[in-house]
Amino acid sequence: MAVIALYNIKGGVGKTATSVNLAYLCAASGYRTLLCDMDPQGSASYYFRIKPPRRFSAQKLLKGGGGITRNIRGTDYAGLDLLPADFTYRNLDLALDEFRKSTRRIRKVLKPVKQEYDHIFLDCPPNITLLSENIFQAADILLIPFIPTTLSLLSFEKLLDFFRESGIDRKKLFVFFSMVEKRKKMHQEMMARFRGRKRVLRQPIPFLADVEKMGLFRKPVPEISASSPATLAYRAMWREVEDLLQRKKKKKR
Amino acid sequence: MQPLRQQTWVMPAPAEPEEVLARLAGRLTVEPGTARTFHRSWYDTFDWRLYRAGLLLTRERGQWLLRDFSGLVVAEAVFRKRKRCLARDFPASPLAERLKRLLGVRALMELGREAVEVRPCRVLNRDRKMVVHLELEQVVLDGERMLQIRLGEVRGYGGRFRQVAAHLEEIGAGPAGDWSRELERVAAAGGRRPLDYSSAFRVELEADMPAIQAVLRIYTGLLETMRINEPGVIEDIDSEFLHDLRVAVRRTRSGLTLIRGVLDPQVNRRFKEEFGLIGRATGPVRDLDVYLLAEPAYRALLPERVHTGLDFFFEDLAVRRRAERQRLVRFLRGQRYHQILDDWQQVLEQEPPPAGKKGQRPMGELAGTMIRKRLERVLRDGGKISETSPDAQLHRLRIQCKKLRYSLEFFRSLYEPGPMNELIGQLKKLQNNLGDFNDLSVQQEMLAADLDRLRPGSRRAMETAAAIGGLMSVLNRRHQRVRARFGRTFSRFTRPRNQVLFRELLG
Repeated sequence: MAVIALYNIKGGVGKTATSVNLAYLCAASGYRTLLCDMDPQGSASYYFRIKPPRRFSAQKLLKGGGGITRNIRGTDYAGLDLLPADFTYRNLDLALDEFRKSTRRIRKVLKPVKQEYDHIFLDCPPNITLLSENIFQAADILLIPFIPTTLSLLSFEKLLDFFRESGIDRKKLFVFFSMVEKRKKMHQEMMARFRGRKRVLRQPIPFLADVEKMGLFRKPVPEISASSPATLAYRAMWREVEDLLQRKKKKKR
Repeated sequence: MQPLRQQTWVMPAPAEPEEVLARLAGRLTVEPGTARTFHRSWYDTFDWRLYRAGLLLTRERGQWLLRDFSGLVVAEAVFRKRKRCLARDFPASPLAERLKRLLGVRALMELGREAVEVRPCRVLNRDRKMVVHLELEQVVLDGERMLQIRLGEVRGYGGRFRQVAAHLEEIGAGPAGDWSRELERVAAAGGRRPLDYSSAFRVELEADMPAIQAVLRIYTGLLETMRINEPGVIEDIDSEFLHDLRVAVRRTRSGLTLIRGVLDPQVNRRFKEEFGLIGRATGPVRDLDVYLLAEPAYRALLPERVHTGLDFFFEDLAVRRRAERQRLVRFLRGQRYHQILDDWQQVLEQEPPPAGKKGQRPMGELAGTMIRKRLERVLRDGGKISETSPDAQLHRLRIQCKKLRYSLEFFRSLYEPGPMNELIGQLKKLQNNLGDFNDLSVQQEMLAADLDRLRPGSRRAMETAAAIGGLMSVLNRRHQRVRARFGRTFSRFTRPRNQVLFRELLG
C-alpha cells in the first residue's frame, strides 16, 4: 500500500491531469485504487463527473472514519474510486489547525481507508500550507510536476529547502517534466540540465491538446484515445511509478 | 465498508435484450455496450465439494470465478485450464488458497458448459456518470434461452441501485433465486445432479426386514459405487476414484466375511475370493498414490539439502506408477474384472434371492449380535496390549477395529443417529492411531524395499539414498511416538462414558 501525492506550489502545472490519468492506469493494472481530490476547485471530481455529496465537508474529512468511507464514490472504471472534493476544502487549513499533531492529521484519517486499497493518489491544491505539510507526511511518494522554466526551478528549490527545514524524508520526492513544449528552446535546455538525475522521472508529459480534451470529454486520456501520444506518455510514466512502488515494497520487507 | 450489492433478475421468456432496453429507456438513461459471446464452463469435484460448501466455480473469458449461491464473486483468478486440475496447480492467489482448503486432493471436473451472450450496459445520471452496472445476459443451454439481468452497485450510489431494481420489477423482471439453479441446469444436461455422489457410505435399512433383503441392498449400493468410479480411475482424474472403488470392494469383502449365513455360502465363498482378486489388482497403484500424495509432507520433514534426492525419489515413483497404472487400466478394461462385476450383479438381482440359513431372520436382530461380537473382540484384544507387546498385535487390533467400523456403517440406519455417530466418532479416534501406526510401518518397509532396489554407482542413486535414509529416520521416530500414544488412546476409547454408550446402543 502506498500513498502517492501530486503536488506543486504553483497551480496549473498539470497536477490534476496527471493524478487522474495515473490513478486510472493504476486501477487498470489491477490495483484497487482511490483518488482523493483535495483541491477545493474539485477538478479531478469534475473529470469523473462526480459531485461532492451534499453533507460532505472539510470537517467530515478531518474527522475521519465513516465520514470518509461513506463519501467515497465509484468511478465509471473498474477498481477506481474517488473521494470528491468539497468547496469547504478552501478552509482545510483553518480546520486542520484545530487538531493536535496537526501536521499528521491527513495521514491519520487515511489510515482506515488504506486497508481497502492498494494505492491511494492525492491530488493536492497549490501552496505550501499546513495542508501541504500534512500531505508530505501522509505520502510515500511525492510527485512534483515541473514545467521546465527558470521560475519552476525556483519553486522546486524552495520546496527542497522546506523539506530540509521541516525534517521530512526527501527520498519520497520525485519530479517530472510537465506541459513540455517541443518547440520551446528553454524547455529543452532546462530538461537537458536535469536529465539523468536521481529523483527525476525519465518520462516527460508533453503539452498536448489531448490532455486539454479531458475537460471536454470528462474522461481520463486513455479512455478518450487508447493510443494518443498523451496516453502513451502517461502509460510510460505509470510504468516508472509502478517500478518505484515495487522497489519501495521490496525495501520495506 | 459493506460489499457492493449484486443482483440477478430474470425476464420471463421469451424476452429479447433489445426489448428490455427499450422498455427501460423511458425510465432511465441506459447506455448499451457491445454484445459479446463466450462459453461458461462449470466446475466441481466429482463429490461436489464446492457445492457442499455453498460455492460455484466457473471459467469464462479466461477467468476462474468462485461465486456463492447468490452469484456474488468471492474469488477470481486468471489461469489456463489444465488437463488435470488440482488445487495445487493454480498459481498462488486468494482463489488458490481457498481451493486448496476446499478441494483437498480432489480434481476439478467440467460439469458442462453453456453459451452466454452478454451486453454490458451503464445506467447514467444527468452528468452522464455511470451510477449502476447493468448487464444483460442471455444463456443458451440445450437450445433453451434465458434472459438474465445483472445489476451491480457502484460505490456511493446505493440509492440509484434500489431505484433501478424497482424499475426492473415494474417491467416484469423477477428475482433470479440462486445461481445453484443454473448449475443444476448445466449438470442435468450432462446427466448429473448436485450431491449425486458422496464417498461416504450410506444405506437405509429397516430393523424388521429380512436379512437377505438388507444385505442385497448393501451390496447393490457398493457395486454401484465401483461402477461409478471406474471411468474416473481409467481417466486418472484424481487419486480418489481408485480409492473409493477400492473401499467399496473392501466393504463388500468385509460384508461377505462378517455377515455369515445370510447369503448362500457357496456364492459367498466365490465372491469373497473374486473381490479379493480385485483388491490385489488395484493395490499397487493405490500404494504409490499414497506415497505421491505425501510428497509435500515428506518435503517439509526433510532439510533442503536432501530435496534433490527427494525429487529423484518421486520421479522414480512417478515412473513406477505409470507402469502400474497401465497394468491397472488393462485389468479394469479386461474381461475378468467385468465378468466378476456382471456375475455379482446377477446374483444381486436373482429371483428368488440366493439366501442362506439366516436369510429370512430380521436384520435388526442379526446386526445387534454382530456388532456386539465385534465390539467385544476389540475390547478384549485391545486390553491385552501393553507397552511391550509386539507390533503384530496392534496390526491385528487394527483389523478388528476395521471390522467393527464396517459393521457399524452397514447397519447405521437401524440405530439412533446421535449415539451411533458418537460411537463411530470415538472408534475413529482409535482407528486413526492404529492407522497411523500401520501406515508408518508400511511406509518404512516400502522405503527399505526402495533402498534395496537402488543400483549404486551414480550421483542420482546417492542423492536418492540420502533422501530415503532421511525419511526412514524421521518416520521411525514418528512410529515410536504413535506407538507410545496407543495406551492413552485405547483407554480413552474404553472410558466409562463410552461403556455407557456401548450398552445404550447395543443393550
